[in-house]
Amino acid sequence: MKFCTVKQYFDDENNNNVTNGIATTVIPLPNKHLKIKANNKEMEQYEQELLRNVMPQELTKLILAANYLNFKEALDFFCRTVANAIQNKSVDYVRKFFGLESDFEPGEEEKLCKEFAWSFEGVDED
Amino acid sequence: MSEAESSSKIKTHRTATELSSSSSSLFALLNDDVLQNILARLPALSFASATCVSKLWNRVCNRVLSRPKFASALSLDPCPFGAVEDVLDKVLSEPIRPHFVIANIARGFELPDTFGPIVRRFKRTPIVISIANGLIGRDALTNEFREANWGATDGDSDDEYGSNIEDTNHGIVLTIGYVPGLKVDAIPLLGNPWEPKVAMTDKFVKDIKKYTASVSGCTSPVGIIMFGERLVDLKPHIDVLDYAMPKETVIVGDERGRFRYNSKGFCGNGYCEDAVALVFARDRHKSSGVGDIQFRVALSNGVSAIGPKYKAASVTLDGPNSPRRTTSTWLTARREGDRDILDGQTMLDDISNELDYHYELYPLYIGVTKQRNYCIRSKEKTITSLAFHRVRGGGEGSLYVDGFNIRTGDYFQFYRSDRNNASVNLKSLKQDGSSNNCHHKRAVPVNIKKEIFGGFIFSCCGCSDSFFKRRNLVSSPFIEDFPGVPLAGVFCGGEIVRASSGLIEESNKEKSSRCCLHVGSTVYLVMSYACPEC
Repeated sequence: MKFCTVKQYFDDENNNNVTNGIATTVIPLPNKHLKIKANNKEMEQYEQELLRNVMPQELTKLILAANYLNFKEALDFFCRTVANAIQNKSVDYVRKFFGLESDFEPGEEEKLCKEFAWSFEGVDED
Repeated sequence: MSEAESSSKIKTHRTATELSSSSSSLFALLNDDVLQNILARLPALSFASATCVSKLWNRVCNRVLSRPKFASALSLDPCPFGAVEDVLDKVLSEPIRPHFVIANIARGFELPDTFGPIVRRFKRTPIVISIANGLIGRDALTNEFREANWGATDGDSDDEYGSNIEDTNHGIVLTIGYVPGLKVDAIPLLGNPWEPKVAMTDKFVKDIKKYTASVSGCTSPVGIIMFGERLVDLKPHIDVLDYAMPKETVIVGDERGRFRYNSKGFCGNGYCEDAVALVFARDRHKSSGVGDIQFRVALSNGVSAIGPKYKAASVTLDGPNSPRRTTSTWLTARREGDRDILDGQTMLDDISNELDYHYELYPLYIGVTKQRNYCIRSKEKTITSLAFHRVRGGGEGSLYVDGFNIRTGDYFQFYRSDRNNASVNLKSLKQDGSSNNCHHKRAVPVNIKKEIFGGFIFSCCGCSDSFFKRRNLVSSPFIEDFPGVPLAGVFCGGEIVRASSGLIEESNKEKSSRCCLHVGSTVYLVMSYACPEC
């Protein structure tokens, strides 16, 4: 049921979205997930480990893989991991983390920052 | 930051600079839905940062927060700092942008202790924090829905500043709201302790209309949530407000408390404030994708009239003769049509004997029909309305009631607590009410779907759990009819409610006179959102 797209993947030779390495990480995931589903603490630890060992673009690839494979649990898991990684971080940190650049006009960004000034206290700087 | 985090941070930096181009192009492959999945998990502060990262993220964040949202949490932790932290964490644990903040605390907490941290957290946001006789909300830690009703203090003490050291009532309920399409500000009703005049109400009404006009282009606010100062008789102010405000404006509130507020555009002038109003006005510059928010109200009327009509004969004020204080009144009366003047004891005996109502055990009120002259915008105007006074007893030949501003010749009736009158149909609030809002120039489709996104309850503290022996008595109707919708509320000493017939659902409509200040009742404020594309 979850793996209908996996079959498709193996049939499709010219697939660029999912590299083999990623597939080996993503596919064992449901087994692990089932095993530790009951125990949230272990899940958190696994999550932290994943975060430490995996660089942002790796994580991005994992997400893309999970999305392509239509694997909802893994997708939610990775998204949660990313969300935790950028929690309480400054706007600049988030940009660096994802390799994004601000595409706002100078005035626009200032206006936004002013509007959201209430939230910028107590945020971890880079 | 931990060592592990800092090492991964360094890795991030190196990697980011080396491979930023490939990483960004990879990241760009993520579709909006996945990005939305990530951003919707962020707590409010991080979510605000995310909104400023790039145009794409800004767009996705606006999709996450496309509808109005309420968030509220309750803590009954005896430590004020712990309680405030718990509710703040809970309320800010999901994406939300605060357009207004309402905090209600128990008498055992100090206003400065709790006001400080909240104001620091929410800069440039209208905030009202008030002391209530009881709190209603969902526990921040256990998620259990709770009502804590501590009842009123026995006889309002004249001592404004002293608090009962043994006061063991602890708790806070914090509500924040995101209301796109509306703008909110806190507007004070200023009082002059030496010369209380209705002229201050004039300024209050003017301020409200001016603010509304600057936001909406018309002078009709969608709704007002008010908190009054308990040592002030709010009735004349409410009467004028009722007269001066357009019919569509819904007004709810707590008549008696103590409060502090933070306003964007208004400040106190060094005098005490008699009340503060959170005014909600439609933003005329709102984008077309944003729907309409409406205030709807349900009134569960917990009192009903008993006995004959009386006409007040002699009326004497008790206590220091200062109009600013809620003192008490001694009065005698005659039955309508009779000539004999009755003393307090006779009237009360009539009630308990003939009508079998033990006024010593259950709350008893008189509902006085008052015809008063007000000077509104330099014009004399007579306004008639019903006001309730709690009966404290009868002795020394007179009936003894709370409050003042009763005059010889006023008609009154006794009112008793009556739960039979109280059931109210909340589901009907989901239907489209008549909305003659000045902005609805285009025809509104008849079967427009409304979504209820939040509720706030003002309930009389006299309706305590122990009295009626049922858990979560006042909030159950709301929780059953609108499961999952954030709800908070307070138990108060007088419920303010004013709404035109299309916007209010009443449990019984027996009162003939206009009445905005209720007792023994429960007011449900229900916020609804009409989605434009639904």
